[in-house]
Amino acid sequence: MTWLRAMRPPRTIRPTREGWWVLFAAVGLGFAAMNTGNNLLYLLVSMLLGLIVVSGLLSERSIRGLRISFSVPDEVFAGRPALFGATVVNRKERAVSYSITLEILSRQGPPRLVWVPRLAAGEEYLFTWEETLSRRGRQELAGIRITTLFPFGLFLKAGQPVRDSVIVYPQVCAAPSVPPLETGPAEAGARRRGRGSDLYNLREYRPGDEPRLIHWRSTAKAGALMVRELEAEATTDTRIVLDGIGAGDPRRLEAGLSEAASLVLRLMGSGSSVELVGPGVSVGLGRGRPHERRILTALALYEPPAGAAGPASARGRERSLLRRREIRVPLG
Amino acid sequence: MTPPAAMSPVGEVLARPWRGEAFAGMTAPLAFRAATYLLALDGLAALRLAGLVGNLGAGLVAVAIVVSWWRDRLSAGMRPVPRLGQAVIVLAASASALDLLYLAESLLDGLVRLLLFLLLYRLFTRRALRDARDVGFLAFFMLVAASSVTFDVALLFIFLVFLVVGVWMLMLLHVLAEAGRVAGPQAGPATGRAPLGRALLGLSLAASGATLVITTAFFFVIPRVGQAALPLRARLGADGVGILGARGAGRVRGDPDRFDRRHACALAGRAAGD
Repeated sequence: MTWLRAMRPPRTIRPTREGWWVLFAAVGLGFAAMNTGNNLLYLLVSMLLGLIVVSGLLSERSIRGLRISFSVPDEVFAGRPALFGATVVNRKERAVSYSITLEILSRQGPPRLVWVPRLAAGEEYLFTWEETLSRRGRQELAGIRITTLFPFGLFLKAGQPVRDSVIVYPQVCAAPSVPPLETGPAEAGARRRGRGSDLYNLREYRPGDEPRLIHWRSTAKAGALMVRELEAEATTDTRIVLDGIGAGDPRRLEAGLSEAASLVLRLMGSGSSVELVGPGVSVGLGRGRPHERRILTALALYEPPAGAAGPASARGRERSLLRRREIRVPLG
Repeated sequence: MTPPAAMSPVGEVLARPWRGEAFAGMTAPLAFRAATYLLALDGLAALRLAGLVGNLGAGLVAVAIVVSWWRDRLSAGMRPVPRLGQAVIVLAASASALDLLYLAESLLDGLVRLLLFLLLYRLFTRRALRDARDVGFLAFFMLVAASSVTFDVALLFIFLVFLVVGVWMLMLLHVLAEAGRVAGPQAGPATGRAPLGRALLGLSLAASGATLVITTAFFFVIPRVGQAALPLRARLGADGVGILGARGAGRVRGDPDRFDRRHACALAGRAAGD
């Protein structure tokens, strides 16, 4: 029920060492006051209880109305540190939140802490942290919890952890070798200028050309500055075929997916169009960042299917590739 | 939007004042220390008012408390004596045991002297926040000790001072402890906003007021709850079997339908005498 949740929001309260002292002192003095009937002892007990009540009220006022929203990076690769962020917003109309501690929970070690001394109404605070996720796939982040010891440090009041998930792409290894392009005589004319690695042409230097592209030997021969023009790798359409289903050896599977992801990054970085096919996986030909993410997401979420399936589903489209390059990545 | 804050390990911030966190020319650690000393003096005043400490003793302790403010400056010129702390503790423990068992007129007198010793020891050896926190607790126990033997209305004033200064000290303790726990760029005010110190002072006064109101309410409610529970306690006492308190035994004896072992023993003794 909403009103019940508003009245009693989910919180955990734990006394600190000082809090236990106050509780024990209140109980002990309470018994003493009851037995002796001493008014001043009653007064001291009342003061301790009053402190506890005020502590509860002020801490609730501080923690209530705070909202956390995650800022997850677009690309997270397994084994590589990524910068995560979150924003805490004080959505109260007027009340200021004092002394909030944001606990960035971790599965491995103790939580990391961010202390916000003061957050005015409507104000927001962005904080970031670095985290390395070791496994590919959809991973749930350990979460962030708002806690406060405000105002007296007697009780640690904490809200429920806020969690988010992120798709972690397979681990990327050092530039894998790309097999040479399969070109026929009719397709030779399809070569064009670009920013690849193969030589396309030599021509005279023009203002604006990159100095590193100056070809010194030709310059000496021609008596004028000559520069290299490189062939664009973007002209290649590449199909990455996941070979096998990878059900037998998980390590081989991960290594294969890692290799495929590295190939995708390398090829698409140089402007190639890439297609991914495999057992239960099919991402059509395309280029650009959104397409790259589609392929990496497919690799990240890949699970060996129950029945063996080969890349046959993609064979029908082979003819549509003018300049194809097929790279087979064994999954084991 | 506030700029992102870098993570930083836990560190010590007490060594430096809060940047820009001055109120009335006072940094947070200094205000915290002042509040701690006020509490100590408040506790001493309560003991004096209750007559648990004489004029001379109270004066000497007050001077010692004030001198301990400059502890760092005093100890700077001194050479550290090895194992002095352990020797003092052993000596003090022996003296306190002797005092409590043989010398003190009453147990309360002995405990008050022990409290005063612990207070001065903590003030002269304070290093971390927890030492100041201990001073606050000791001052509270001084009030407890005083409240058991005095009915002076002036104690209300002392109580009020303790409440206001205690709330202020607890808040500062919390803020400084948090700043120490998560030290770094955000240990001070996160951004260049209004000074936290003034806001915190206002909030602490409001908290003191709220605590006072709730304390007053509890003060009137709790004894009545105790009174309301008396018949229940009496019934529980009368129905109980085994060791009874003096009052409980009296009630059982007064009930003609009940049988009391002590009563029976007395009757048996009387019969034997006859």
